[in-house]
Amino acid sequence: MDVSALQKNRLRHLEQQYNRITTSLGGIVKNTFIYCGEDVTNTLGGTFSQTAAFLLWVLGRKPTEEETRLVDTIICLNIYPDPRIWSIRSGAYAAVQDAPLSACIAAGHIAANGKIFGIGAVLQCSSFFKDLLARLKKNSMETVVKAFLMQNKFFPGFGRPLIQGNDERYIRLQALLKEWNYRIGIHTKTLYKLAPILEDARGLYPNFASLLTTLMLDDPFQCSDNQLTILSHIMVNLPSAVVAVERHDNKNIPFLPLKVIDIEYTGKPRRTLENHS
Amino acid sequence: MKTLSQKIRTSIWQETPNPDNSFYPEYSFCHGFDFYNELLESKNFIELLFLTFTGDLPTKSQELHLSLLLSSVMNSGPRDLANRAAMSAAAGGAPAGSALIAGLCASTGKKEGGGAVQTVMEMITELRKKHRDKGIKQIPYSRIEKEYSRHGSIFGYGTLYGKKDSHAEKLTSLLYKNNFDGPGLRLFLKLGKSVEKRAGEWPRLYGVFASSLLDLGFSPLQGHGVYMLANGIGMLGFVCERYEQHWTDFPTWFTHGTYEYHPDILALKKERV
Repeated sequence: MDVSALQKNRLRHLEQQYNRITTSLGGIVKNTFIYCGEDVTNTLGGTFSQTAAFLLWVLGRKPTEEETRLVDTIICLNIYPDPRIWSIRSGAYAAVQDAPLSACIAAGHIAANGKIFGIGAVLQCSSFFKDLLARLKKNSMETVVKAFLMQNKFFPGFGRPLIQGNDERYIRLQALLKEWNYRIGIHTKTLYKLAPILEDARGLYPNFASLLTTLMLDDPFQCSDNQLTILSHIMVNLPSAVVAVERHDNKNIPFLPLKVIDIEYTGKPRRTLENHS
Repeated sequence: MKTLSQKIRTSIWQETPNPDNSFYPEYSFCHGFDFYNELLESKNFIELLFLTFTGDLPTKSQELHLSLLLSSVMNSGPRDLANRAAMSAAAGGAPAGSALIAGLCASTGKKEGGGAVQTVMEMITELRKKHRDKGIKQIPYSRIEKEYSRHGSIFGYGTLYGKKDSHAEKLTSLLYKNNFDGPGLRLFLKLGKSVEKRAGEWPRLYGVFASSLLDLGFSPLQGHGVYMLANGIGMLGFVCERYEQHWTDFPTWFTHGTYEYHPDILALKKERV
């Protein structure tokens, strides 16, 4: 390998990008505000919702009413501002600490990057269903699931950490899809096929994360993991923001104060510097 | 319109370009000292921290003083709100960096956080300036109470769960014992006497930290962030510990009877509308 050529190549790359920003998204282009190829002021303003704008970016074209309705529904089904949810709680603590409201909302967002009720859960679902589809090209669903069960594999998108039984959001969305005659794609079909098998084998029910992820992986969206991450942020935004505001408005009221005895110490026994060698 | 700058202006860090590669820093200087060839092998973290913010290397006394202040706030314990914001994020499965940032978001707060430290430093700076400029002998208590209080407590004072903050007392005594008592701290403690008489409250740890940090030449903005950084050390410890445990080992408050929903609050709001 010619190290010197590599170094020169890297340097040339830096020089090419020096003092230059290249984007395909838009911005302020010759006094016109552009978003994904559309005139923000004259075309999108007054006609587009935030969800439609999100889908314009995902699809690369203006979404249909049905597509927007589906994603709006997904977002709405997740609006439950429960301060016990880990990420929402982080924002609430920040609010009671009297951090600026933006910092509280930021805390909620960054904490939502978790595996339980968060972006991590959605991304795990994405990875699981992509892997499952790849396996199904060579084997039947029964064979694949049997192998998974033998390995005691974790099934992302199935079961709920705190509440037993069916996920109400899943059931509602599934019913709406039926009511709308929505044409589900291969990922969602796979989920529907897998669900009864796991219910029988493990007593596991699919949760909302699995359905929203498979729908967004399917046509026409074919969301990348980064796009799923953005959708998740949109979904957690309002619940964590309203909780942060409620706590911010009532910051003189203690939020989950703990007593000394609430901490279980599991560390080293008490010792002194004198005895410590 | 003012000309838009194409350069980043800084008095902290200077790099000299390599003759063959203008992106490569041949030498890096921190406030004039060669960072990698001189400072790195001879100065410790505390000294470099002091240099970064004040522009000069500390004397031995200043180094020990800063070290004591940073140590005093480096761990607020697992019940601290900012630490719990961080731990909550970690328990929910967020990566350590994200959990730390979630905690730091809380740690910027005006209730015992960086925001509170900054306000104390601003208050003492203003008081010192007025004392110097106008020769004020008496501290204008009611004006301070009006301008620098939060929920009835002047910033920097209060109680630790309803009692005198023994951690603040300990830090104060150590600062005095080591002759680290500067004009900022002395003024803060002087005001503390009035606070105790009038409000029955005492200096808090972050207040002692803030006023004493002023004596080392730190600005209120720097104090805000330095407090958060110091506090972040304990926070990161608690965050990393979470990954050694199952998420169920951290309280969720999903147990029966802990959660109350009062729709009447919203109904009242609608009624008002």
